[in-house]
Amino acid sequence: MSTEQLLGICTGIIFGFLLQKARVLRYEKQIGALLFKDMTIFKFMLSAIIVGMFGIMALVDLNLITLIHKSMNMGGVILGGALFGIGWAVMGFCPGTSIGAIGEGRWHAIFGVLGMVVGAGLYAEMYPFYKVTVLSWGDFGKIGLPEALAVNHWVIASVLAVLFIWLFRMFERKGL
Amino acid sequence: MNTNIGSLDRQIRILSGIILLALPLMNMVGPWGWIGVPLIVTGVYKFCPLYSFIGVNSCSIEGVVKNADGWSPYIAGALVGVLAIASVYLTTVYMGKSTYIGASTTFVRAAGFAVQGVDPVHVAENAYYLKERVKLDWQFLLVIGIFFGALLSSTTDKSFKLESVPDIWRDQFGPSIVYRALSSFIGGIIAMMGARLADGCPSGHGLSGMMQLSVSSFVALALFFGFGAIVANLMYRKI
Repeated sequence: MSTEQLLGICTGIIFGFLLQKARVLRYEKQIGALLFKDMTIFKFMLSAIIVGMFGIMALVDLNLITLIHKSMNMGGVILGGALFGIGWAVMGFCPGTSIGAIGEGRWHAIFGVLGMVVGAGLYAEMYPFYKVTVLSWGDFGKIGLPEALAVNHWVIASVLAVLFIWLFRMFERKGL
Repeated sequence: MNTNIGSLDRQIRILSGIILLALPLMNMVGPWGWIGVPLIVTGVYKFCPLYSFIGVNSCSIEGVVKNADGWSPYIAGALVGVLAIASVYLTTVYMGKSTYIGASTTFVRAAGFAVQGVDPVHVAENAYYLKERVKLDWQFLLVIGIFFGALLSSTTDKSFKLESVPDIWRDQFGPSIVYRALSSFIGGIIAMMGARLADGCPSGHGLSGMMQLSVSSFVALALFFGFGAIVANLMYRKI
């Protein structure tokens, strides 16, 4: 096993361990979040984002890492985001959690995994078509919110952190 | 003043606060080691204003472990944040390129491997497989790791449970595994098509993209949840 692969599997094991400990791998939790009845997934994701965001910005400012933004391709992100949302609700898992769900015994997630492999294969076949249609509808490139708004990244991160913490307060008050 | 910090939480705060504070004093890191100060102060006084604001506490096990038997999603989530930071740094050092946590590209590689078994020439000529490269890379191993991590965690705390149909699904659509399997399979196809068009899933866009403040990730995540919420509400509407 190469260093790259060893690093990947170790990161994955810890990630899967934490996903399972937070109990976010379950169908009930995924659907619960989409029905706004159980906010566990929001609490988990937003906590990760608050911590990760400040750490990543510090490492970028120290020139230790670089940011890799995904392209703001209008057709791709909007159509793809909508399609993903629909499929997510029907399947009840997202790509990462489906694999973890099988690990904790929810073996019906295997059908979702098979569907996703088929979906990826279909996408690869249709890629030349998407490239000249949906993906050519306009691309704002790999941009971050600080450049787009011309506001310092620490300011944006702090505003988001306050917003997320305020959301946590709301979730706890409503017992969600 | 009420106390809302339990003894274990208190020890962790004071210890990590001292370590963080020692780093800038020894000139090992920049000024941000000073965030150790509030950790020590809150630890000493056993009161955290943030906990008080949100409405949680770590005095009792119930405070930390809110959802039945697992860990508090706030704590597990914060640890995922730490993992994400460590992983970007380590991939930059050892692989020469900053690499962020994601999952959906692995499904393209898995499809590539499957098609390769039947028609290797086709995979070698397909533009998308050439773009994403069909190999057992960092992310592929990460996705395999998620399985083992979940297995390890669930079998050691007795939450491993074989489930063919989720309870809420059974209440709404009946006990048939066929419908669940079919819905899961079709949902999977649609979701992955979407994830590839959007270039990410709730891991790549939702966690990694949001942490980097990427514009595309804010848009993608809003659409993931927006359309997901519409469909979930249609599926689980009360008749």
